[in-house]
Amino acid sequence: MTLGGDSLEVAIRLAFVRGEEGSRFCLQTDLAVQGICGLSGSSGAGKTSLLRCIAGLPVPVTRRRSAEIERFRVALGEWVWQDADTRVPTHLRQIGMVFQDSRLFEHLSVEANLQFALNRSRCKLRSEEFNECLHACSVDSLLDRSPQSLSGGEIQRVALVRALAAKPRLLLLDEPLSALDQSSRRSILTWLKEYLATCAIPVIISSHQTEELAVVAQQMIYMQKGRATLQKNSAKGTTEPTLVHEGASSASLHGHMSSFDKNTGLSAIVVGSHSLKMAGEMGSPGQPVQITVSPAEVAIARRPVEKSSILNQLPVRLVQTFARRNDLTLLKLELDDGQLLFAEVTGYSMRQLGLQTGSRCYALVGKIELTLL
Amino acid sequence: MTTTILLTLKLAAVTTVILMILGTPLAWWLAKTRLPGRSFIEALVALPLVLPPTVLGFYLLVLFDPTRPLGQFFVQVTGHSLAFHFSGLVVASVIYSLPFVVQPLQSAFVRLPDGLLETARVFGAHTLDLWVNVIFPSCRRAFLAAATLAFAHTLGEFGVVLMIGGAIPGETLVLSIALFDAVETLDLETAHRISAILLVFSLLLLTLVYRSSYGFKIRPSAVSE
Repeated sequence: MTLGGDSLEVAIRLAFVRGEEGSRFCLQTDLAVQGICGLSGSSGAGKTSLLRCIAGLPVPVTRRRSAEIERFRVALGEWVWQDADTRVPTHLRQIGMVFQDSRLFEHLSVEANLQFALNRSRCKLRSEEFNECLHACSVDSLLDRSPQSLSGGEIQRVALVRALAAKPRLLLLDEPLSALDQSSRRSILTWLKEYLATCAIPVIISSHQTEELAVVAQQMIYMQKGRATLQKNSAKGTTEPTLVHEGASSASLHGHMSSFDKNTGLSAIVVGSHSLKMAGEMGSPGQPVQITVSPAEVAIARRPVEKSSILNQLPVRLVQTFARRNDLTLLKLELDDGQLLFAEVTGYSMRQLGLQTGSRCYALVGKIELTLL
Repeated sequence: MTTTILLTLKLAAVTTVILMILGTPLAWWLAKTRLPGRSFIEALVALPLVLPPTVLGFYLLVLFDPTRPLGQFFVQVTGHSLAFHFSGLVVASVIYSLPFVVQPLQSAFVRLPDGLLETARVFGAHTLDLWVNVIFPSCRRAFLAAATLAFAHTLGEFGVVLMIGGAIPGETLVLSIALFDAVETLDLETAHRISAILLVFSLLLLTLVYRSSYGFKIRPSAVSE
């Protein structure tokens, strides 16, 4: 899939004092993002500050005049929003945004909230596009309600539709679906990916569910203590691991559903020339799926293991190793069709199994997460 | 009598309109500024609450004196003095009722979350749009309370009017002064009538204010949260 829409350039070096205790924080980014971009990082890493800087909103500064700007350049394609001598005010930037706390207008009904965004957008959303958004986010039944009567998840879905209704040039979503259950979150994310690709709107989505994000994102920004690094997802949709960010190296494997065996209660999923099994009946035969595997769920054996509760064993080749904290090593493993998988093992196991780059071994896969595409 | 009632209502209405126009930006500034001079301005606005109205009236009378700069300027522009004239009453009433408009608006603006305005900005709202479609509807109860209190309070003013207005029928003779005159001349029947009118009308207006503020607290949807 091609990357949609304009490229967003963000080059910021900004130091400011924030928080109750007034700690000094330095936001540093130098990125150009395009298409669907995930934003991940622990709490307080500066995700919200980065999104606010892009939107042209003030960062949460504790004391007045405590912000020191060294560099500040934000541009969408050819359109410079902010640099040394330009500053396009927020209301002219044509942004759609979902804030962490959603922020619906409480004096307006759900429908009027959506209308607020529709009425002010430069580029009008077609009614069938609007209806698609309403339907995909299950907001169509909430139109007459007042925001005070909605649940947390409903509020977030309305806020998302409102941001889409603006038909923006850029979409900024700050933990937009955190209050939703996993399955609705995934189905909305999957829909969003397709929808945004057709509209060619670049989007930045921040989330703590890094693995789910990696499924839809074409690029990932990892933030650590205000410093942002960009990782491009490879063409196969596999997230490259990063040494900067822990826990963001889940693999995404692509395959399709095969048959469901009534006797064993297991569904088979074809990945490359192998078949994975998963409990329960899912999807329909032939349906493409994406499987997400966390490196903590993958163990390594030199030979196939017999009589084990592990359902899935895949022959792999070790292509690269990354040293991690606490004597842990992250292994980059290649399946026979070239798809990548990651495993985390201790240094002791590495020596015990005699693993080296190029070694052939078996990946014993524990829990897998399935997304129907 | 009818002239007096109409004049009183006219004074209250004109004062309320002017106060809403002046009081809204002032209340906004007081709610949002962090400048050190804020408390002094707040005290100045609140002064009519504690100051005897006659003191205010006395200083206004001094200020309106046609031999002094302000009084002179006004005479040059309009051809008449501010003192003992309807326009003088309006100026006095605006100052006298200012805290009743500024205080409810200021507290509503303080409670208004910054996030609400940011959100409206993000979706493309310019400043006027923000006021008309976000701030005003979000604070409509405070605006209603401010306008009602300003109106009711102007109806009941006495001391200031006595000092600067005199009792010229059709020009400065308002109900509260007419009541004073009626009692002085022992016209108790008129005194009773005027008192009853002011009492009932003020009670109705205040009931309206409290009803709107209660409505705010026990809105059914808020209870279900």
